[in-house]
Amino acid sequence: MEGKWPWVKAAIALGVLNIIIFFSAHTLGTTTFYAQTTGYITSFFFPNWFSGSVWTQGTCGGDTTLSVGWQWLFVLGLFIGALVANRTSKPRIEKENIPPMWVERFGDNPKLRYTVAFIGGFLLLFGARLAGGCTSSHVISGMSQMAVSGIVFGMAVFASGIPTALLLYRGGKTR
Amino acid sequence: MNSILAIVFGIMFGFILQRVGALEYKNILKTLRLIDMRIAKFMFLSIGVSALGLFPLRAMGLIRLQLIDFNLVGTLIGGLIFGVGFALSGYCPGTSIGAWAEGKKDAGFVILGGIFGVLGFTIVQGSIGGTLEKFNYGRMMLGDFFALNDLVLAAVYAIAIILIVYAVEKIEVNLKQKKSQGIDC
Repeated sequence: MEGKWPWVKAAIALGVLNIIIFFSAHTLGTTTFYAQTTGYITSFFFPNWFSGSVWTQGTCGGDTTLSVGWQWLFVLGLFIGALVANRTSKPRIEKENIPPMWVERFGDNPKLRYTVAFIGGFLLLFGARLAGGCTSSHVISGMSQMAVSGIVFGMAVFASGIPTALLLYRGGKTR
Repeated sequence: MNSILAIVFGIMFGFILQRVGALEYKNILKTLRLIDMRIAKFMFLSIGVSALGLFPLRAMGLIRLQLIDFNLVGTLIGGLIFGVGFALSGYCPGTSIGAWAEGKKDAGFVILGGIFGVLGFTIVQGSIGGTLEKFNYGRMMLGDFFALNDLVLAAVYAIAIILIVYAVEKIEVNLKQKKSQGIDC
């Protein structure tokens, strides 16, 4: 198996996959997975804190009760697919816990990287739940349907993501 | 059957994301720092390709659109918060799962943060949910604003996106050439 795909080839593959998924009356999306997983964990420790329906309300999965549904299994597949792709890559991919680009700019203290990664993850999913979707469901799936929500979400992500990234690396090496 | 399909589609999605390099922090940050737009070109070309296929299939009655509600405040503010998280983490909710599968430890912390992010939202949802609902415009798509056939509109939309991707590619190639020739730009 070969290593990296050209972006055009990968884009066509994803475009076709996105279309095929519509035949199953489901959509590409990952926010629902997080909502379901968090719902299960929370209700395991605090069974009476929230009712089961609040977790997936307003997500692209559209489920009204807490369940391991289509979207959860889709993300399980994503995990397997990425693992297979990683293991079949040639040359073999070196495992990295902290990205080299980060190390160059902020040093190799793992605590700093993991803390920022945690905060980033918090904001990602807080934002995705507020918006009702993420990069997969709003941008890839939504924008391909000319959805207003997808177009606004996509523009908002880059409108804040680009300045944040530029600020983070301001004054650092360009590459 | 449907469950098996979900896993199979997921595997294909994860495989593509890994192969194009979307599971790598550096590629996301290079796109957001406008250094190398590889991931953005990949995303937007796939959107163009999908749109070209989806709307004819819809006109034939083979598929239905699966739109997400447009909430003026929720979608916009949510997207802005998401973008900051995107730049800080270097992953999105989907790619962090794939990167974690590859053994990247920082992606695991993104997922953990994400679980708390959902919890955080659910905690405030009770108090902001009602106000937020006032800004919900429901399932809207561009076809609702233009007196054009959806098929024609989709073709124009898809071609416009593909042309923008092509233009970005051209600009990048030009810049690279100038750099290799030692011309300051």
